[in-house]
Amino acid sequence: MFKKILIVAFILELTFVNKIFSQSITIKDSWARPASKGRNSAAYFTIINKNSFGDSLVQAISNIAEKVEIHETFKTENDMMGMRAIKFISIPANSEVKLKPGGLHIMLIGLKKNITEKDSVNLKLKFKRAKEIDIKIPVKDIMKKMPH
Amino acid sequence: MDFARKILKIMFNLKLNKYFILLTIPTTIIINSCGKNFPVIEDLSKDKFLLVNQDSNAVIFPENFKNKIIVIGYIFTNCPDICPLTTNNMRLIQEKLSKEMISDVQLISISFDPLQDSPAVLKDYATIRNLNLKNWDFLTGEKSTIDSLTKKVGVVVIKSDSTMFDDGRKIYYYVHTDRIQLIDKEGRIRKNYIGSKINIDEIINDIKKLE
Ligand SMILES: [Cu+2]
Repeated sequence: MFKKILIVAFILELTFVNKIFSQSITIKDSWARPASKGRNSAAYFTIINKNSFGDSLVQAISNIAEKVEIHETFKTENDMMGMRAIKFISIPANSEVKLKPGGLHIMLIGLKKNITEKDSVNLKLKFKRAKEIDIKIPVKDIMKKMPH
Repeated sequence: MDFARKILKIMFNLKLNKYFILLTIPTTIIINSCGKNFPVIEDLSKDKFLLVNQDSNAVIFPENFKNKIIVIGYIFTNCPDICPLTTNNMRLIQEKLSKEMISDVQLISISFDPLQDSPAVLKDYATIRNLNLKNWDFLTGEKSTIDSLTKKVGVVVIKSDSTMFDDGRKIYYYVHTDRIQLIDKEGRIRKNYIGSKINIDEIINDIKKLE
């Protein structure tokens, strides 16, 4: 009996639960920086996880650039800044994770064409648990409008 | 000078010995002219860094900008996260200066990655952002020149991570000082700011004090 329940639970997981997972992770406020062909851009967005369990963003894929990497900007002493590739971004249960300038970002390295303000960039996001999400990101020089 | 006058007034009120007053005057003047809030951080007036701008025109820094206040930011164009914040802050400073009709200011962005950042790359970087280059130069140069310049102005640049493309090309990222500097009309660095987080009103007020 117990075995049967396990099997049913397993099938349920395969068929329904995945769908529920993918619906519970959503993306908002996405934008990418303008940059010229051959150079680099960065993409930013907010990941919303309404699930009661954590997840991770493990990969971003785009045909706009030769390479796409998950990056974080870090600060060291004496006002020094750097950035490095990281393997994943943790998304805790019931939380929002913001990718923003000076922090987490998706690096679009070696752009295949110029991207300017009227363009958009396609990005496929792969998660550890949730289904992958395809997003279309507008290119914006967003800082122009929000001095800080 | 207000400070010096105040001290003098107090001294006269106290009817202190006039010799003591005579001794005090030079000291107060020295304190004032050094500008406690505006110490000279580094004097570049004797330096002649031979650089080139986004249009491939030769530029001698800081000599060619003498009699202008310089706002200078340090960037590399492969950095799409922090450096654009600095560049954007330079743009905001430029806009505010023009709004306040302050015209004797030159903006300069210097690349500390000259092997990647040719004049053409810098030109693209400015064009794609619709930057107004009327009083703004993007400078690069020989690597040895850039290295000695960054050393002199106190900007630290350390090669760190890299990305290798499929064809074997490699680009480097740098850990670097996040910096905008204010240089007076005599070519002396007077104040350091955090490039990506600079307070625009603060530097505009500082520029007014140096004018
Ligand atoms: Cu990065």
